[in-house]
Amino acid sequence: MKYLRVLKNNNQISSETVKQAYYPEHISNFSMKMVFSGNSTYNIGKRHLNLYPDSFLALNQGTTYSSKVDSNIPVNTLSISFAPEFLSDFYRTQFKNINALLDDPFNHTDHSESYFLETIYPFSGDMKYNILHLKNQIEQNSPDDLLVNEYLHHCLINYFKVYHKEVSNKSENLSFLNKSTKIEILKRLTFAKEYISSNYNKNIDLQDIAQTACLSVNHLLRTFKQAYGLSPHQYLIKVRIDRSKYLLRNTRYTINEIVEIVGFECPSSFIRLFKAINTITPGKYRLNLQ
Amino acid sequence: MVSQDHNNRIKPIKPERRPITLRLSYVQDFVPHLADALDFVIEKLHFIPTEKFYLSDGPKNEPIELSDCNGNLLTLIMKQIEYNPEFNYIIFHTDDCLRDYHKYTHAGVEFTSRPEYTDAGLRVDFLGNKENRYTLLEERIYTDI
Repeated sequence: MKYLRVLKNNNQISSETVKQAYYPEHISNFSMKMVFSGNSTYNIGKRHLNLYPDSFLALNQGTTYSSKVDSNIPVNTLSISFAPEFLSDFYRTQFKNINALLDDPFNHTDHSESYFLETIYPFSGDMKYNILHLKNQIEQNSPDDLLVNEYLHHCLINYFKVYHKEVSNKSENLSFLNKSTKIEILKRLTFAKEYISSNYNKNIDLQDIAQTACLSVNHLLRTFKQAYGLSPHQYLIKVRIDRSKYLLRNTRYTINEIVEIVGFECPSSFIRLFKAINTITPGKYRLNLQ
Repeated sequence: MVSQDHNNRIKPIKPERRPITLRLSYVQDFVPHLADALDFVIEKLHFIPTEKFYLSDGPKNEPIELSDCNGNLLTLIMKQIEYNPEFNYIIFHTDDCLRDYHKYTHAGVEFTSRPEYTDAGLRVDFLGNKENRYTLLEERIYTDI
């Protein structure tokens, strides 16, 4: 099942539910990718990202990437591609003063600030509400361009909020004076974070993470904690617990199956950690949702 | 001769009509304006009450049933809330603020702002009939949606 909608202003929304699909390398506009069940894989240069329902991927304009779905269960994906003019206009209306907008209303050449850290971000809060509403509209009705563009405008508002929280605020936590050093460190930490998030169910160790981030193990440990308030290992546990919660909420997998899927060694350590973080056992958590 | 089966095509599936519920919240001070709010629903959103009632006797506790010309049913629930300085108008609750903002705009409703994010959720204020002010509010819970 596939849905594709190209708006008059060249914004584009596509959605599909498949078990197997492969899209060879192509160049993107600024785009956001989400999955609502299962996971999909994105290859961006040497980076291999696995996207799960708790995250969304933001790709910059001009990025070359390929993507793949290979799953036993149907994977429902949604992709939003923003026309450069729409993005540029959004940026100008948000950040330029009113006089500049009145003097030069159709200037779409100002892309200087529209480059973002290209990675996976938490899919939650207003961003999730907005995307779910948009998804609901395109599945249930035939919304006109104006309404779809309203949702897309709010996608960008929400993305800027997430970006500010996940990138700008986190870089402030790093104790370096030099702004460019902060940005470079944060970029490498982002690679570490997305490596953990993409491989959370595998037996990964600090060496692997440090190598992916091009940081020494000690440097990684120090700066990761500074930026995110968690050690890489604590972050890995958090990702595993969050994904186990998703599986408890949305699937009928047994606790033992979930333990295996999310990469814990044994049920007892999973239950202990789950209870320590959520003050409730996984079984009771699931029971409370019924 | 036209066969009996000539017009026996598969009939298009009618989309299922989902009942709509519109919840209004108000504080004591706005009781006099409730009739205006109902007039607004009737005039702008084109719903008609299915039975007669009088708001002049005071706000009704039970839901009010309305319907439009397409047979869509709307249940209007009015609820009194405690005074909140953030929401000093009658609140129209919605499950999708942008959808209804778009729908109301098409119906000619005059909005006094663009939808904005608040601690309570996404909201936008608009003018009703007789210059009354209302708030369209989508309450949001930010844990595990």
